[in-house]
Amino acid sequence: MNPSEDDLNCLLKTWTVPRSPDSLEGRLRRAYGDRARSRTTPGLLEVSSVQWEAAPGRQRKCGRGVWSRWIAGFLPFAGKFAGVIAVAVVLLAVITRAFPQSLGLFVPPGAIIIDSEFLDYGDDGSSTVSEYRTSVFSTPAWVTDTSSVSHIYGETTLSSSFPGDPLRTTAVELLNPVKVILDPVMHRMFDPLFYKPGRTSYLRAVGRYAAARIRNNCTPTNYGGTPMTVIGRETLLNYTTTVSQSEGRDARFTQWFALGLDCLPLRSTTEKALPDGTFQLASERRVLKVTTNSSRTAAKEPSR
Amino acid sequence: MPEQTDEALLDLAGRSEAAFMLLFERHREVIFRVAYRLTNSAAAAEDITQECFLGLLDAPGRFDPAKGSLRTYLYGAVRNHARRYHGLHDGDVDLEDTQVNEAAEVSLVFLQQEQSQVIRQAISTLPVQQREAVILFQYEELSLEEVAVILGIEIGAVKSRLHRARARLKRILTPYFQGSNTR
Repeated sequence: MNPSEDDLNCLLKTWTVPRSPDSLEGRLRRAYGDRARSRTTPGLLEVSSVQWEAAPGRQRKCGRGVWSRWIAGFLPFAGKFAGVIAVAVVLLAVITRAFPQSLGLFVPPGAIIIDSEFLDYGDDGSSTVSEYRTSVFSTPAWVTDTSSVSHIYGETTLSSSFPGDPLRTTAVELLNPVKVILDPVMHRMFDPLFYKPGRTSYLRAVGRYAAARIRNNCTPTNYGGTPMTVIGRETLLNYTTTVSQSEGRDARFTQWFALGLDCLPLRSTTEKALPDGTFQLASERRVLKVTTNSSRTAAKEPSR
Repeated sequence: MPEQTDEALLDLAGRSEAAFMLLFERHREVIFRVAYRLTNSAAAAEDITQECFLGLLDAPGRFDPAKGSLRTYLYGAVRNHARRYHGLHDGDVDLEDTQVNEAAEVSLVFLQQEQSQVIRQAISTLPVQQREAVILFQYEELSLEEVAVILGIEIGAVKSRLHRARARLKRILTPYFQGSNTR
């Protein structure tokens, strides 16, 4: 006998299904927590709070999971990023090696470019050149109302070589072009005053100080906190310089400030103090060549 | 306080575990029940229920209120998970044409089992596509239109599947009817 439609309906209705187990809720809550954590890359604070609150056992494991996911999430990106940076650095180095004048694109107008050598002196008075360097002292835009205070703002190395140390030369030469390009950015990133409202007035004060010093025949007041005294005048590379000296307990510092170059030092020496009270030359930086940009207007030698 | 709609809870679910769990509480029994019937396995039903709800978190944009209610969407999700459980994917062989050895499925032991168990076994012998239609229409009491939307087929195709499924069930269950009439 074949069942009727109603019979079949009644029979089908007898199939009952158990209720969903209570454990399902707990399972889902745990899965929710895991998904929520994996959906968002945790910040450092969040990661540390997870680890801080982690109890031994399961939760502690969870903390490590977050870390490993966090790191694993960045690894592919970090690898690619490092690769791109490495290729860019090498490319930049090749270009600047092949076309040294290309770095000039990054030298701002009004800058002073100098070639200098660094010497180390032995106890017998012999000297060795430790580095040749070409660097630029640029005029920051914010000193338009005074005059250049470029050397206060810092020096950017265009190229350098270390005689007898080709490995170091190669490494530094690779990085120099990067530094030339990145320096303006880095100055802004790490200048503690850059985002502060008092920065403009501070810089103007620095500019006024520099301008006053230039007007005052490059007479400095101190060197690294040690008072400096003017001990004479000398001509170096056709620039009149004011020779200033500061004396500490263990060493004596002497600098030759060029009057026509906004008090840029053309020579600096460090002498170490000997037990008998005399001083012995220990190191020196000497400018070999000065190139000034024709657009430079402030580099006028003050009248003596 | 007015009850939150499913859509509102779903919006919050990604950020609020409470909202997510409220959604779960509303639909858990239905989803588990359908999953259980489609797979004949409590463990599989548990897994599928969990995946259906977590799917709401992973791709909340996949649910379009304009196309139907969240319940309807979840029916579709549970059906897809159940198909995967059976090793099927969209576009796989149409199992409606698969011949099932009904005689082998119906044994004497069949007659001695609980009625619920009998129906369960009988339905499990149906091709997956017919089983889906029967479960949604017969047990969930959805309309033909809703079943058609969930299965992604025409209403006529739903009717056809139901008709063939019922005919097959009748044939399978005939010995049981005969047995129960003589018992």
